[in-house]
Parts: sequence; C-alpha cells; structure tokens
Amino acid sequence: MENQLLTIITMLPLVGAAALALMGRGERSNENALRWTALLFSTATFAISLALPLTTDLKTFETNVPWISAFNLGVRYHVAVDGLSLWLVMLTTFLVPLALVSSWRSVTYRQREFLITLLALETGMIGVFVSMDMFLFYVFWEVMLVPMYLLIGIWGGERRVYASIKFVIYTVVGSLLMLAGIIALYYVHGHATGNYTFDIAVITDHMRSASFLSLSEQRWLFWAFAIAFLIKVPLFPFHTWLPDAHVEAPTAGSVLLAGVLLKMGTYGLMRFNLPLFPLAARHYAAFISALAVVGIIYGALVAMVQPDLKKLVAYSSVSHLGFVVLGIFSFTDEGMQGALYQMLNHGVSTGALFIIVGMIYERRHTRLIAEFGGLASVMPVYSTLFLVVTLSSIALPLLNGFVGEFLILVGTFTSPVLPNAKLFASFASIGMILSAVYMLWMYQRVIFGEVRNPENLKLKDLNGRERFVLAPIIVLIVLMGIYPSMFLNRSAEAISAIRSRVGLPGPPVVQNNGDQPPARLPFNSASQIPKEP
Amino acid sequence: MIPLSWYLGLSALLFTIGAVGVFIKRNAITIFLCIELMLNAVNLTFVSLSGYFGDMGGQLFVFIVMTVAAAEAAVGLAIIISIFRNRESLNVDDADAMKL
Amino acid sequence: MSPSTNLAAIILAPLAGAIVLGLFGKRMGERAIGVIACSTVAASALLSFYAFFTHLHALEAGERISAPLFTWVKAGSFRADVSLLLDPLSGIYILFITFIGFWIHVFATGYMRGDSGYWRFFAYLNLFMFAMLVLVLADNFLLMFVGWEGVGLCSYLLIGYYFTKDFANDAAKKAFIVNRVGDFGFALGVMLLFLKSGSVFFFTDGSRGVTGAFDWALMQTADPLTASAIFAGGITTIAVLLFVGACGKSAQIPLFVWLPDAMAGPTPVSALIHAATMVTAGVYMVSRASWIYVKAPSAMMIVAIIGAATALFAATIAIAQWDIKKVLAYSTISQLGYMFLACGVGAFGAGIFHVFTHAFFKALLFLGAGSVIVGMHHVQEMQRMGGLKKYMPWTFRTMAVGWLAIAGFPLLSGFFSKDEILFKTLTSDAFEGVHLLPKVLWVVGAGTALLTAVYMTRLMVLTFWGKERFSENGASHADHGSEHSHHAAPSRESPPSMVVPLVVLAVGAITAGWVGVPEGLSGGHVRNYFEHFLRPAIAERGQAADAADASVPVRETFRDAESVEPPFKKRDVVNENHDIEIALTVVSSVIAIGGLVIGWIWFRRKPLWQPPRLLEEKYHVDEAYDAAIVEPIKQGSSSLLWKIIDIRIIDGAVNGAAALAASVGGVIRHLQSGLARSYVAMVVFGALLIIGYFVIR
Repeated sequence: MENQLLTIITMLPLVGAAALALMGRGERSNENALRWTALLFSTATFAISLALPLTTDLKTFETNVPWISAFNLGVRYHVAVDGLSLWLVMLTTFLVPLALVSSWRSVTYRQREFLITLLALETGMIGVFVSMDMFLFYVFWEVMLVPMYLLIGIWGGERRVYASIKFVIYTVVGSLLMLAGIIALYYVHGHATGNYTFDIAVITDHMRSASFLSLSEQRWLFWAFAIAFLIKVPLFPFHTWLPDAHVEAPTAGSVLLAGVLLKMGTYGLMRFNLPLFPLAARHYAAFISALAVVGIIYGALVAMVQPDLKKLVAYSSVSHLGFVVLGIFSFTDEGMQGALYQMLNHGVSTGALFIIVGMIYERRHTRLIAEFGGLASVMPVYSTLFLVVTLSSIALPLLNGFVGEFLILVGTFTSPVLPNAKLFASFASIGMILSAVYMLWMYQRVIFGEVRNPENLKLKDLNGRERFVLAPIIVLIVLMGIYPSMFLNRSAEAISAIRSRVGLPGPPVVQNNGDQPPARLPFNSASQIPKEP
Repeated sequence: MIPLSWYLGLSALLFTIGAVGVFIKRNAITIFLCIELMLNAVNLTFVSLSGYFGDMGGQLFVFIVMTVAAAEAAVGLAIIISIFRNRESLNVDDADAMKL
Repeated sequence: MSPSTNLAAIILAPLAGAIVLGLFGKRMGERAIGVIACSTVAASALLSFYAFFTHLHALEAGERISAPLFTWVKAGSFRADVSLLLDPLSGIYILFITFIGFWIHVFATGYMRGDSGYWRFFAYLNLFMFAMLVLVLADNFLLMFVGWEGVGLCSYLLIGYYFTKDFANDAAKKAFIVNRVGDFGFALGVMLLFLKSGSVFFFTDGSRGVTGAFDWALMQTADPLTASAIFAGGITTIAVLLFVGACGKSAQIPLFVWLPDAMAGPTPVSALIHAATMVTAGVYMVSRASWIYVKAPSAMMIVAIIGAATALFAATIAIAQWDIKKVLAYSTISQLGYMFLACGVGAFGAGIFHVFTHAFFKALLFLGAGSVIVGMHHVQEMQRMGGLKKYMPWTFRTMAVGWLAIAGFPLLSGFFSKDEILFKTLTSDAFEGVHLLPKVLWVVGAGTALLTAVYMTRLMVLTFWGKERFSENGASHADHGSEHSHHAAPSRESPPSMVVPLVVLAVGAITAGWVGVPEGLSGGHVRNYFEHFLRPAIAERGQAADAADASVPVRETFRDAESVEPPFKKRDVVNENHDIEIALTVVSSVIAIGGLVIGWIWFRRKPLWQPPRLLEEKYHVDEAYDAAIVEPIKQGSSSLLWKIIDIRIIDGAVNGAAALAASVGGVIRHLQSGLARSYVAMVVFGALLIIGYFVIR
C-alpha cells in the first residue's frame, strides 16, 4: 500500500501536461522548450515504469484506498499490475516518447496543445491498464477518448471532422453499453453478496468461488462489455471507423491509436469478459471466433487493394487484431499467451509502420502508393528499416510477429473447447499467406523499381532523429522474436488463471441455471478488502 | 379574521395575471415584471399557509425565493440590456435566434 | 570443443559475417568484403568437418549429438527450443552446404566484381548460409521453420537483388508468396502433429524433459492406403500437410512456378540457393519426417506420384527453353521430382544421396552457366551463343563434367544416385495392393532420365559447339535479357576466382557418387556406405511394429539394429534384388548414353530446332494461375469486399444511422422556434398535463 509507483506512472504525464500549460508563452524558440519538456516527462515515465518488469513481485505495486465513499458506493482507487497488464503498460510508456519524437517537426500549429493532448492521452491509457476498479476503469476509458478525439479532430487531415466524430460515436456507443454493464454487474453482485463494490479483483474472485450470475444474466452482461471491446479492437464488422481514423490522424495519433488504443479492446476481453462471464464466453466463442477469422481474411484482402499507405496499414490491423481475438477465444494457454504477445507485437510493429509512413508523408505530403517507387535508391537506410518492420508484420520467424501468431494458431488448433477449432485455425492460417501478399506488394511498389516520379529523386534519407526513433523499435522487434521467454514468463501465471476459468474441456466450471435464484455467497466479502480506518 | 381561502384566491389571481402577462406581452421588461408577479403570488401562498399551519418552513422559503428573484432580476436585466444593445428592440419575438 | 559450442559456432559464423557486412559493409572495399564473407563460411565449413569427423563413429553407431542452447518459446504445453541436432542426416547436409557454399562464395567474389551492391549481396549470402544451417541443424519443427522461412527471406532478397528491375521484384515476391502457400501447409502439419503427439521436437531428450514427435509416430500403427486417410486428421494428414510445405520450398507441382522466375537473381544465387541447397530443403524435411511418412502410405503415394509427375513435366519444359538459366532451372525442378520420387517409394536414403550428388553437379552447371554469361556480357539466350569451347576452355571442360554427371553417364556421381532411385522405385513394396504403380513410376523416371540427357546435350551443343551466333538477334525469345541487345562477343576465360570453384566442383561431381556405390554392383560384397550411414536417421517401413511391441527407448533400438542385422529387410531378399539391380544399371547406362547420342545427333544437326509452342510457353501454367487465382482475388477484394461490403454496406449502415438521427432531429428541431413565449406555452401545457394527471388519478 505504501508503494505509489503506479500512481506516479499514471499521473506523471498529466503533471507534464499541466507544466506545459503553465509554461510561458513565446515565439518559436519556445516551441522547442515545450517539446523537450514533454519528452522529458514521457521519458521519465518510461524510465520509472521500467521498475515494473524489473521487480519480481508485482503485488508490491498495488494501491487500494477508498475513493468515493458517499452513499456507500464503494468506489475505490485501486490500481495494480499483473501479468496481463504489465507489458501493456510498458508498451504505452515505450511508445509515447517515440510518438512524440516522431512528430517533432510535423506539427505546425498549436504545438503546446498538441503536446498537452498527447500527455493527457498517456495518462488515460496507462490508467485503463492499471485500474482494478470498474468505476476508475470507466473514468480512464473515457478520459482517453477525449485527447484522441482532439488529436484527430484538430491535427488531422482533410476529413478529420468526419473521422473524429465517427471515432467518438463508435466508441461511445460501446462504452455506454459497458457503463450499463458495469452498473448492472455492480448491483447484481452487491445484491447477491451484500458487498457493493466496483472492485474487479473482488468480483472476479467471487465469480471464481461461486457464480452469482445466471447464464442469461451472463449473456446479457457479456455482450454489454463485449460490444464495447469488440468495437475498440475492432472486430469485423465494427471496423470501419478504424481506416478513417487512421488516415486522418496525425502520425503520433496513429501510432498510439494502433499501438495502444486497439489493445484496450482485447485487454478488456481478457480482463472482464472471460473471467466474469465464463459460461457466456464459451457459449459465444465460436461466433466471435468466426467473426475474427472473417476479419483476418477480410482485412487482409481489403488491405491488399488499398491505394493509400495508411489505409493499408489500418486494414492490416483489422487482420492482425483478428488473430488476437481468435487467440483469446481459443481458451488455451498457448492461444491466450500468443494473443497477449501479439498485442505487444502489433503495438510495436504497426506503431513502427505508422511512424515509417509518417516519415515519408512529411517529405512528400502524400500517402498514395502509386506516387512512390524506387525509394531504395534514394533512401537506403529508410528502405532497410522499413523492410525489417515489414517482415516483422508478416511474422517472419526470429522477429516478434511470428511467436505471437504461431502460438495463437497452435492454441486455436488444439483448443479443446472451441468447436471446429481446426477449421478456424486453418482459415486463419490463410491470413499468414495474405499478409505476405499485401505487405510485400506494398513494399515492392514503394521501395523497389526505378524512380519514376522525379519528386522522389530529391528525397533525403533518414536524419539522426528519425533513426533514433526507429532504432529502439527495431531492437525490440528482434529481441522479442529471439527471446520471447522474457515476456511470456511474466504473463504465464495471469493468463493461465484466466484460462482456468473458461478453458477446461468438458462441462464448464460454473453451473447455474437461469431459473434458480443466484446463490448467496457464504462468506462476508468485506473481509476481502481491509477497510481503511 | 380573513379566511385562508381569500389569501389563496388573491394569490391565484395574481399568478394568473402574471401568467397571462407572460403569454401575451411582447416587451421583455413587461414579461419580466409578470414573472416577478408570479413569484410573489407564490410567496403569498407560502406566507399564508405558513401562518395557517404554524410552520416556519414556508416563511423560510419566501426568503429563498426573494433571494433567487433578486439574483434573477440582476442577471435577467443584464441580459435584456445586452439584447437591447444588439437588436435595438425589446420585442422577445425578435430575439428568436442565438446569433444575430 | 564441446558439441554445443561447435554446432553453435557453425551457424553463428555466417551470421556474424552477415551482421558485420550488413552494418559496415557499405564502407568496405570489395576485397575486404570478399574476405569476410568467404572466411566466415570457410570457418563454418571447417567447423562442420570437425564436428562431423570427430563424431563420425558416434554417428555411425546411430547416436545423436544434441546441443541445446536455450528455450525459445514456451506457453502452456507448447515448447520449442533453440537447440541443434547433429545426426547422420544433418551431418551430411552441413558438409555439402558449407563446402559448396564456400566455393560459390569464392566464385561470387569474381562474378559480382564491380557491382554497386557488393556488400549487400554478400551480407544476404552469408545470412542465407546461417538460415540454411539452422534449417538442417534444428532439432524441432519450429526452429526448422525459422531456417525454412529464413532461407525463403534470403531467397526473396537475392532474387530481388537487382531491385530496380521490375521482373526481379515480381519474381522475388512470387517466390516468397508461393513459398508461403507451402508454409501454410507446413504450419498446419506441425500444428496437427503437436495436437496428436504433444510435441514439435523430433526426438525424445530426457535431459531436457522433451518428448519426441517421431517417437510418438513410431508407436502408431500405420494408416491404411486409402484416400479417406488423407482427410482423417491422423498421421496421413500430417504427412500430406508437411508435403505441401515441401512442395512450396522444393518447387513441386503445383507450387513450382516460382523457381524458373527465381533465375532473375545473380547466377551464384541460382547455384547456391535455387539448385544446390535451399530447394532441397523440402526433400530434407520429408526425409527427416520419414518416421511419419512410413506410417502414412497414402501420403507416400502422393509424394511419389507428384515427384514423378514433376520430374517428367519439368523435363519436357526444359527441352524447349532458350535461356540457359531457365533450362537449368527446369532441370532442377525435374531432379527435385526425382528426389521426391525416391522418398515416396520409401527410399529416403537414395533421395538424400541424389540431393548430395545433385548439389555438386547442379552447382557446377549453374556456375558454369554464370561463367558463360559473364563471358558473353550478360547474354543468356542460347540462340546467341555457340562455339564457346575455344574461348572458354576451362568453363567448357568443367561444364562437360557436370553435363555427363547429370545425364547419368556411368561412374559419374549422377549415375549412382539416379540408378539407385530407379532401382528402388521398381522394387518398391511401399504400395501394397497397387502393384502396377512402381512399374509406372519407373517408366516415368526412366523416360525423364532419357529426356534429361537429351536437353542437357542440347544446352551443351548450343553453347559450346557449332557456329558462333553472337550477333544473331534472339531477343524474341528472351523475356528479360533483351536490354542487352548489343552485339556480344565472348571475352577470354573467366578469372581464377571463378574457374577454381568450377574445377573443385567438377572433381566433386565426378567423385561424390563413390561414397554410395549401390550394393548390387559389387554383388552385395561392399555395403552402400552412404545409405548405411544414414540408416539411423531415417525410418523405414516395418520398423514400427518391433519398437511398438517392445516399447523400448528409440536410441536403444538403433544400437540393436546396428548389432543385429536390420530387422526390416531380410538379407535374402536383398540378395535376390542384386541381379535386378545389375540389370537395371545396364539399362540406365544405356538410357543415359542413348540420350546423349540422340541429343548430340539431333542438335548438332538442327541447333535452332523450334520446339512446340506449348512447351516453350511452359504449358501456360503462370497464365492459368493468374486468371484463376490472382486476378479474381484482386478484383473481388477491390470491387466487392472494399467498395461494396465495406463502404456501401457497413459504412452505409453506420452513416445511415447517423443520417436517420439527423433527419429525425431535423423534424424535431422546428419545436425550437426560439420564440420565448412558445416555450412558456409548452411549459404551462406540460405543467397542466402533470397536474391533470395527479388530479384525475
């Protein structure tokens, strides 16, 4: 309880944002000071967050104090990391400084506000991953929405207003359903146990020992949460906000949108839907897996024919995230570990792809593939780094993408719970072929061939700052591919705890018919959380 | 002693006068005065019922209403003045849009 | 040196070279680059020889030298290590990979002279050596897949080496994607194997607590030879799926289309990757998984039929090609078909033997072709060659060796391996109940052998004999050489850096076959050392039952098999076959020499014989694939999926919902007239309604 590290990590960017807001107004020279301040705060956040993976016992970081105690609401400020959220927090703190540096010069107006928005976004994102209280979770979930809305709406491209509103409405539709779900869960749980609390850990523990939810309740609540998360993922057919949002968002926005925001959907599925509604999750697993497989193939096919680089990467995200969802609903250790790993991979690789596309956009102010060609001759370093990221995205072994994708496929293939598991895995494997098709074709049209457009002859290769942005990503791509145990070992326990709730073959763990009144729990759950004096 | 019904009757009369005034008048100031009239009609009801039931709550409420009315008058008059400045008119029907 | 260090160093040396060249090569001179590239491969070769010969006795005794490095992926019950395995099979592979690889590196230092991407080329080439060595040294399927995809990547990079040329890029992409189609099967096969056996490791290793998939396979009863077994999801399905992967990598029907196009890469690449090493990875994998295949006779039959069909099919195309490298490419496909034919009839040892000899003579032929191409100033069409014998004597002499070897001229390397395959095909007992099949396969194989001798003779005659046609315009047949349409006269012989490797490989092409002289030729007095050596590493039919009964650990089984006579082949049967073998040897010699004579007479007389259009245009397979697969997918994705489903239907629904909300709002908006008094009226009306409700209630 004494360790406030998570609070510091969460709030430090916000402090940075406040500092930026208070800094003196001035001319251009001042803009650099603003950038450096923002970078300082986000880098400091990353440096501090490094303490998380370096500590063996993640429990030491838990903070759990009452927050809103009026009306006995039981809202608590409960933040913690476990194997599930650890690497996602790290991913966030890792990507934000890179996103900042990648758009060092590309933002030409409202620089201060841009930086403030980015830092506020970081707080929101970290908050979502560390919240262990549904109320707090929801607050951060919505907090994160606003800066992203502003990023797209203010610093976006031509159709930014359309894209930003589409993004917000899609997300809000889902999150309102989730809010309803949270409140319903709160009351049902409180009614059944007498302990009115929003605490995720407590509710999950109660679900573990005895179900207080009937099957039909589970189904309703499952969808209330699932729709919010599946929109965020985004799973086919909820994906159409993504290409628009990505195309219009500035580079930093795209990086964080693809790198972190999309992971919140899959994170939510693993944090809420699987452990809380295991029966419903198993009941709908085949349906959602089918959507995921459709998304994998559909996203890849549509990505293949996109004329716009960012749209291509956006649709490829639909395909990649389909893999993640498939892995989650395989209910196997392999599949779910692979899914978590694939989330990180996608964050790193697709984040890098957006940075790379941003670099070329800064130079040419176009993202149409047809405008390029032959860049290998004029920008050799760029081409090489682009190749590594491309290969990582098509899951070449010894780069990060392969481990995640293969584990997901193995997990799905061998899933004892999912019906037609082999069929799903086989179709998903087609995505493996298609990803090579669209990525290599894109790479070929942009990088190889003769320089046909004279505009491209003048292009300069990457400067020091740009190399500095990509270098850590490339290192991480290789490291994650060669030594995944470093990451997988930390998450194994948390994943198998979730898996054990839903993944056992045979009859599900929790048996409760809709007709019977929910059973009251035998123990007083107040003892679960020590109350503060 | 005057029976309660007389007080209530007067109050209802004043309230109706105020309400009708709000309906049919177009001058913002007049409408404003009519609203004050309605408020005071309610005040009268409060006071009389307070005396009738011997409950101080009613009189307490009158003070609250008077305070609110004063605040409202201040804000409302300011708005009316700024409307007049912008539109050179006190006719409420002219001010049917937020923008000019 | 401990085995772990030794084996790790074998794979790490070329990797180090690739990293150094990749990072700093740009600032180095050609000489330094060449030295680094060749020396790392030389180190790897020396280490391979060291490892092989220090452990030779252990390998002969059927032991496996294992070098676990670290656990790579572990999740749930799935585990794959980065760990290396030296057994007879991988031992033979690392020997010829590093040996031939080294000489091709040397050749390339001369061939690539003056190229602006010198450093890049050698970085890729070194990286390829690394990936190929990982492929063969891996002790589990997942690590093998690393090498498998790694060689695919290097192949992609090297085919597209001339990245400003569109045809090279298209060929590179095609190679990668067609290989991915194969990998799709491979990955599914591995997953199914994991599902069934619970492991992706080849063999059990108690010290690390891993069980072996092959040990599981050993315990299984063989599937029946039926079509339904293929789809039953059992061991036959695993074998067929793995073979799909092999088809992709080793360019078999229907996935062979990438290999001819792959000739867009520099010639040393064609020699190393697309002839000697990488393309034989499929054969390697099938032989490695022989433990699975012997339990799946249906899969074996598919392998044999596809192999034989590919051999014949590619040979017929090879006879009609004009580009010297294309001829060799189709010849490679054809020879790979041979190797699969051997595997399919259960003669995995013979297949590997052909891989081994083929590596020498095909690398030699490709390097020779490269030498010719350099001499001809990058002309590749044989119509514009001829009479080169006197200009390039050493290239001619060495290539002639390769020509005779591939044609199966007696006592050269190709003779022994081909002969062995044909013999094993005819006498195969792999397909019980289908007695005719071995005979049909033998006829196809023999016919292919004849064709091989003919088209190789055509190549030699067109290139080295006859009249000089340097100024004739053969561009009409050229698909990409046409930019060099200036008159090319041959220069002198190539530099020593190119000639010396040719000579070394020529010696190899003559002698490589002698390590595996068929037993029949000596009447059974001399063992076929090569196959005998390989025996512990590969499974044979019938081995299963004994092991399953006794359920003894595998390692012991081998020792027994060594001390006692092999339980699976009765000695007298072998003796009986010796007569057939000798007879067949005579037949194959006649076929080979006959083919050479036919070719000689035919093409000396009409060197520019116009082959049938259908053959020259490769049966239009590429066009058919384009029309049937590529275009429909592109069109469907663009016009149906994206423009209709995504934009019209899904986005239409979303935007339609928004438009609906907007239009409803547009109607209700009129209530907000802005008239203060109408608002008051609404308030009063509402108040009256509420009061009325309470009054009436």
